Amino acid sequence: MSAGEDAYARAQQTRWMRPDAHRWIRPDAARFLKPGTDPASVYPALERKYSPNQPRVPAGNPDGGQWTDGDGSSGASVPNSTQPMGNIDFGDLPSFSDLFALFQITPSEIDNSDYTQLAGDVPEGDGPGIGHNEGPPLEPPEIPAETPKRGGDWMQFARSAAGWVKLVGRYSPYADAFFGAVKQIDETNEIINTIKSANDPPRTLEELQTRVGLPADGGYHDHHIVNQHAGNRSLFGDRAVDSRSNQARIPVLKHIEISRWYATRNEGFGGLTPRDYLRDKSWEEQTKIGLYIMKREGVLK
Amino acid sequence: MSKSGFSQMRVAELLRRHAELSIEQGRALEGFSSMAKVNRLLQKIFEINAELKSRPGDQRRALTELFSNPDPWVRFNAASAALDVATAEARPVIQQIADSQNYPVAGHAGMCLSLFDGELSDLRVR
Repeated sequence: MSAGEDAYARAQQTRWMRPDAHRWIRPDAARFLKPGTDPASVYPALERKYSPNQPRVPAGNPDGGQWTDGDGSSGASVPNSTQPMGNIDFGDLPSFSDLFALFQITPSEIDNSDYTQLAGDVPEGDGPGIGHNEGPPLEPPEIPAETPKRGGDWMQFARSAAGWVKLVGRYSPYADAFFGAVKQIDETNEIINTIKSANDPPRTLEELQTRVGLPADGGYHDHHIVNQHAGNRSLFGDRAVDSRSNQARIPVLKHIEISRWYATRNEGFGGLTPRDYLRDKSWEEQTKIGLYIMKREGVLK
Repeated sequence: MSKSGFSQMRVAELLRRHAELSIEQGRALEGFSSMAKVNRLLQKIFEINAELKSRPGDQRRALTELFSNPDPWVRFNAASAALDVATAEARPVIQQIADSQNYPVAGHAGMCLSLFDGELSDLRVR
């Protein structure tokens, strides 16, 4: 995604998060809907517009005064994701599951199939939905009380957070509030940069190689397309292995996942790890595999 | 009798063990456990695949029963092992995982397809 496209996506996302997002819904929106349909039930931004009649949690409850859906549960039932460090106030937000509705223009339940479709199609089919174990978490991961030790805990936290940030939008106020909380255990921004870079869109090889060799960018590593282990250095020489054309600056999490794929046994390679299988293979063959795993990991276009 | 006792197990027991090991292997990989642990678990899964293949009629087709398992690693390991004997059923399962963007399993599934019938198929060990 170009910088321009990125800025456009951010603006689109931000405007639907605004308290006055309803202003972007045309006043005659109802004429595109089935007769008798309440536009607020189709366009969540309208629902977010303040209304004195909107049900609220009665005073005296922990969530007193906050919006509710009327069934007795609080609409702001954000779990204490940051409990170990004390409460981080996410503000008067609807629940995170409602958050998805903010980005949704087309109705999900009301049948207006005979009417004009205002925006992109909502995915159909029986595929796994939000909240299914294949999808990212609905809630932000719990922020540990202390900076996680380098290694498994650190990476698990970063990956889990990256999945959640992808869901709510990197530039959303929710993500901002979350990053603000993470900052308290991440003075160097290392974790935050890793989380942010993990959701980079795929880029061309030329784009990925532009910053190779320049001073380090937080959240990125210079990855060797043909592995830089001793066997390859002996076979092809340091100059080829460390050449600019054999490197790409990619997100840290992707770099680690690609490295772990190379170290995972694979029946397609006769039960060997890709790294072992490739030991006696040509530069061209290793490059081919190296570029493919980058594509399959969503790094390379 | 093999060290793991797989040769004494019925097919249903092998499938159950296959699923258990796949869940454990997926957790180990996603949880950044040591690669030695990940590969030990995978080695056992490969032994089950070999055991199923050695049974009369090549019983790897039985792995299709795991294609509806909610765990993506169970589906991926079952489908990749059954690709040669139940291609029509196994390939869409792996494709769905590859398209899910649920990494790292999506990356593993994508590479599996590239090796099976994609541009890397000439590098696949058959």
